[in-house]
This record gives sequence, C-alpha cells and structure tokens, in this order.
Amino acid sequence: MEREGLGIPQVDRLLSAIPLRSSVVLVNDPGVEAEPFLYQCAHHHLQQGRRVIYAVFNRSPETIVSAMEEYGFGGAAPKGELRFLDAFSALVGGGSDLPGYTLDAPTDLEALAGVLEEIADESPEAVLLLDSLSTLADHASLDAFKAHLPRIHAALKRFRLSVALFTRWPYGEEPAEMLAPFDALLTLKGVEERVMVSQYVRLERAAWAAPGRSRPLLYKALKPGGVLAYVPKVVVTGAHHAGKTTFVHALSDTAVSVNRLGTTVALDHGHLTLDGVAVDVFGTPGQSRFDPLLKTITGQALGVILVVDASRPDTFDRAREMMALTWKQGLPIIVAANKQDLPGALAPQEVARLLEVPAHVQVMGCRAQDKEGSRHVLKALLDQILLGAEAQ
Amino acid sequence: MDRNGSLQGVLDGLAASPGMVGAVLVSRDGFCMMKACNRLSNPEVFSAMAAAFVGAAEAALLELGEGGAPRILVETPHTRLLALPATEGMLLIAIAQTDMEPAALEPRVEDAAVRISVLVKG
Amino acid sequence: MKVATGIRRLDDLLEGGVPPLSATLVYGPPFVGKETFARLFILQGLRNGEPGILVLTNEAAADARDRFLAMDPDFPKYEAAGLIRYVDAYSKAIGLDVDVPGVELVDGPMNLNGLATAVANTQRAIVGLGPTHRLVVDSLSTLITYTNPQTTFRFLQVLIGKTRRAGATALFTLDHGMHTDAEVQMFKHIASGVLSVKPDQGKYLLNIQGIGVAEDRGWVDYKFSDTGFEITGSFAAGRIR
Repeated sequence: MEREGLGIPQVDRLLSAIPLRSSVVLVNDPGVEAEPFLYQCAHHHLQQGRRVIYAVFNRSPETIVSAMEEYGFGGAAPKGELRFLDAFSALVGGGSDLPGYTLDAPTDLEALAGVLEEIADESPEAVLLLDSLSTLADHASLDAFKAHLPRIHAALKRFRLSVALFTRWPYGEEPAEMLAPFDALLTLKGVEERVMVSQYVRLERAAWAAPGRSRPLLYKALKPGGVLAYVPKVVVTGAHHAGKTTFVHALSDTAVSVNRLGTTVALDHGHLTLDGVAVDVFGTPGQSRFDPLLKTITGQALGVILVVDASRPDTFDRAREMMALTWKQGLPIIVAANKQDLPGALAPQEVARLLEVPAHVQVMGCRAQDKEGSRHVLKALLDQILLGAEAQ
Repeated sequence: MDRNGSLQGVLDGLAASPGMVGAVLVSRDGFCMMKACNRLSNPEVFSAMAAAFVGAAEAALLELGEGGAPRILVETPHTRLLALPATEGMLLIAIAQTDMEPAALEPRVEDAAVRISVLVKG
Repeated sequence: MKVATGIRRLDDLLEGGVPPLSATLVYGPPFVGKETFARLFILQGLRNGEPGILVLTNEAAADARDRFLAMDPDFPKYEAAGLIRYVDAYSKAIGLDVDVPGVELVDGPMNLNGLATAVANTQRAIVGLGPTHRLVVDSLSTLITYTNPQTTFRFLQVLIGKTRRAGATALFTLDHGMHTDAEVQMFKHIASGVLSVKPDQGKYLLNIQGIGVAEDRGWVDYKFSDTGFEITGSFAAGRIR
C-alpha cells in the first residue's frame, strides 16, 4: 500500500508511514515556528514531482516563496508544480502573479470549502497545505469555523495528503477537541525558562498508529536547512588516549578541541547533521585531574558514548570510573570498542564482558578515524535517544 | 641556586608582594609545576581547571579570528586571577585581592613571567 | 523598582515610573506624540543599559532608527552594544530592503504567529544582556486593522504573558478614533494602566489611569516634538512644581 510523509525525516519517523488521503494538523503554541514544516513538506513533494497546493490566509503567496528560499527550499526548478490558493490578497486589495487560485471572499468559509472541493476534483493527487486553520477562525469567527470545519475537512481528505497549521491562541476552547476529525495531530511547543530556549514537536495521536503520545522531539528550523530534529548534547567520554578526540572529529562536520601538549584540557566540541538530526557533541578530557569539569560538560546530556581502547584492557578500570561519573540509569549509552584495527584488540563481546557493562548496554566495535564507523555508533545512540529505547 | 630554586624564588617574591594572595606555575596540560600559595587546598585541581579555562578562552577567541596568547582575567567580589603565558608550555597564574587594580597587578605579573621565561630557557 | 519613562515630571508623579513588568496602553488620536513618548521610553532604558525591543507595524526599522539618532547623539553606542532591537512587520510587506542592525523581519502585520515568533527570537537574543528589558508595540491599531479586535486581543493576551515572564516592561500604542468604545475598553481592560493623550483647543493634554497611581489626577498639559516630550502643566492633586 502506498504511504506518504511530510519530508522531514525524524518527524516522519514519529508519524510512521501516513496512509493516502490522510489529514494531518500541527497545533503550535504562539511564538513557536510552525510554518517551516509546511515549507519543507512542500519542497519534499515538489521534488517528488507532485503538485502542491499551498492555501495561505495571512500573507501573500510571494512571501511564502521568499520564505521557502530563506529556508533553502528555492533554487532549481522543482519537478512538481507549486500552486497557491490565495486567500490573502483580496483582504488587502492586491493580487498575486503566482499560479493558482484566488478566494475573493476569504472570510466566507462556505466559499472556501467549495473552492477546496473544486481543486480536489481537479487535482486529487496533489498535496494540500493550509496556513492556517486558526486564521480561518480569526477571520470568520470561532463558531463559524467550527460549523464549517466538517465540510472543509472532508475536502482536505480528498487530496493525496493534507497538512494544516493551527496556532493555539487563547480561544477558550481546547484545539484538540475542535480538530478531532483530523487523522493525526502533532503539537509544537516551546521550552521556556524566562524566554523560549528551545522548541519540540510531539505526535499526540495518529489514526493508523498505536495509541499514545510520542516522546517530544526537540527541533530547530534553520535558514538554510529547514526543520531538523535537534539533540543538544551527546557526551563522548572515556579513559585517556581511548580515542575520544579522534572520534569527535571523525563524526563531526565541524569540531574544535582544547588540546594542550597532546591531551584534552577542557573539552572537544563537534557539530554535525545526520539523517535530519542536528547534533552537538561534547568530548570530555580523560585524565583524572580534569574530573571536576565532568559535571559541567556532561550536564543535561541526552546520551553518552563511552569510548574504550579495545587493545588496552588495563584502561578498563578508568573507563568504568568515567562511565560512573558521566552516566546514570535511564540515560541512553553506547560503548564504542575503539581501535579494532590494532593487534590484540578485543572483540566487542569481550570488551562488554571485561568492562562488566549492564546487559542491555550495546557495545559496538569501531575505528575512531573512520567517519562511517563512528557515525554508525552515533546513529545507534540517536535511535535510543529519539525513539526512547533507553538503557535501563 | 639551581633553576628550580630560582623559579620558586620568583613565585615567592610575586606572592609576597602587597595585594597578592599567591602564584602558581601550571603546565598547559594542567599540571601544577610549582606554587606559592597557602590558600590552595588542592593545587592539582586548581591547576587543571586553570589550564582548562585558559585553553577554552583561547579556543573561544579563535572563533573570533583572534590568535595569540591572551591574558585571562577572572574576577570575583574577593579575588582576581590573572593567567598569562610564561613559556610555550607553561602558564603563570597570579592570585590577588580584589582591591588590587589590574593596572597595578599586570606589570608585576608580566615581570615575573618574563623572569620565569628567561630562567626556563636558560 | 519603578521603570522610569524618561519624562521627568511624569516620573515624579508616578514616584519613579511605571511599575516593573507592567503593560501600559498609550491611547490617543494620531499626531499627538504617542510615538515620541514610546520611543523615549525605549531610549530611557537604553541610557540605563537596559535592552529595548521596538515592534513596528507601520514604520520601517530604518526610519525608527533615524528618529532615535535624532533624539540622542549617544544612540550609536547603544546600537553597538546590541541593546536596541526591532521587530519590523512593515518593511517586508511593502518591499523595502532593510539594512539596520538588530532587526527581525516579519512578513506583515497579519502574520501574528510570525510576530510572536520574532519577538520570542529577539528576547532569546537579548536575554544575556540583563534581567529586564523594555518592549514597545507601535501600534496595536494596525494589527486590529489587518486582523480584527478579537484576534489582536488574543495575540496581546499571549504577548503580555510572555513578555512579563521574560522580564519586560511594555507599552502598547492604540489610536483613538479607529475603534469602537467596546473594543477600546477590551484593550484597556487587559493593560496595567492607560496613559491617554488628546488635543484640546490648540493644546495637548495627558491623563493617567492605573499605572500604580491610585487617584485620577485629571488632565495635564504637555508638549511634544519628533524628538521630545515634556509635561508643562500641573496635576490636580499632589501638585508637581
């Protein structure tokens, strides 16, 4: 059976494969970036050669094109076709030169439903993006919105896939109830400490998936770059000379180390993007005199990679000590049995046995200089972090 | 006097001057090479952390396109730390009371650093 | 500690200024100095090393910057320190290029989530500069014109909550003559207090309600220009000399 996605890798993992003719709504708190999800979805489907209908109600179609370019979704002519349902220009007395349809009376939700039905008849294999449902409620009224939503939603369902935004302004009603007809609902919220420091997306429900909410997925919307899941801290630790710095540099797109006289004195810091996830990696020093730094470096880590020199079992005591200093039960962890290319290097199973790691902790062989292998280790950790298969 | 004795003499002299609390010679990789400070309960940790903050500051400045060996001034309501390079592999960390102005502190510490450098180079 | 407006005799009456974390409505017809007052409020904060965010719905950041430069020769210093930020919901809408430091651009005054996001981004950028900052929205009337009073009210409810949490003291301007009495009352209700201004037979009059002041002091004369604002009369009680 054919399935669909939004074209945002880690969000599509949350959604699993979307059945055709499904309706998805993203409910964002005010001030949380939601529009980039639509831009990226549009870009993805255009690249697949599909027709994308972008229904916009509070800014001009030209603004959407310009915004898509800022996020890196412009450039070469796409294989598909982007058309706009312009429900903005009539409000301000202008018009758009971009291809598409115009709604002459944007506050008339009955007319909107009719236009959506006509477009669906004409382009049933198109993807419909709607920016935004809350603007409909603002323009018409909340009561009118609720009254017309069933017909509007039925029209959305006639498209290959429809994705709509809804901003959670204080309407006095819970959006989840109003938006019950939608097949899937994701929430986009901010993490606030005096100001919003980060934002996350969470799948609240999907008709085709098992009941229950997903873990929150931190994300960033980058210009350019689009929507990326975000893991703000993965810690790479281990005994002196285990290969931590090499490992951090190998897997990162960019990395900086504070090394003096052959040893890390403060930390290593690397940044990379992998499978739609932006990751910041922090490598600790290995020598015991720097242990007071560990609490600061490892604070709020979302996962740990313990790098062990598999050719030096005499360092395993220190490795165990560093694991105790940087890891606690419940935090995802992978042990990287490094230097597998050296003579006498112990196999991962043997490292696991001698290191006495808990049974559920995965031990993977690697050679830190090898980017592919290092990233393979990181991917395994990210799976634990993002999908919740935590170490016990 | 042997070289180590002379180096200790420089540190002792700096630490004993008015307004000063102590002085420590730290290797770039965080070892305590020599010290003149009664207040330090754990000179090994102090030295490791000093090397860390100097190294981290240099790395941060590199991101601004600034190289070279900076002097790092750390202030609390009660204490001033001034860290500057003595030799390529060693830092001189001077610990002063907070009422000692940087303008008075810096020349003294620079002078000590130069003397350390001359002694080490032989 | 009260937040000084920068208008001396007004701050005397208010015993230092407006309450911290308050949201004051500045209400009056066009061309009576509301904009000058609001910008002086930001400027007073900048002079104290306090960051300021100016949310613009009907003026370009470049023009706002020019006005600040005319108001205070030290303005470039505040700009260099990163203290002044703009959320500009005007320039992009009319196709203007923007080359002013510290600007977050928003597509237009109808994109209220874009506006909220831009304010959030700006607050995140300045949070390290100090525990408090000042925020001015000029003007609510433009937002109401492009959306409607209820939508703008909801936006303002959210914005006031967020700015308070972020440590901001806020001013919002609202034009008299563009909205019904009921709509104006709705916005007065959500504000901490109202500073009303009006022309009267060749003079200009100012009145304060709320803003930490217990009694209505009546209307007092003021004068203004593009770069200055000054109380020239006396309040009815607690005579300011």
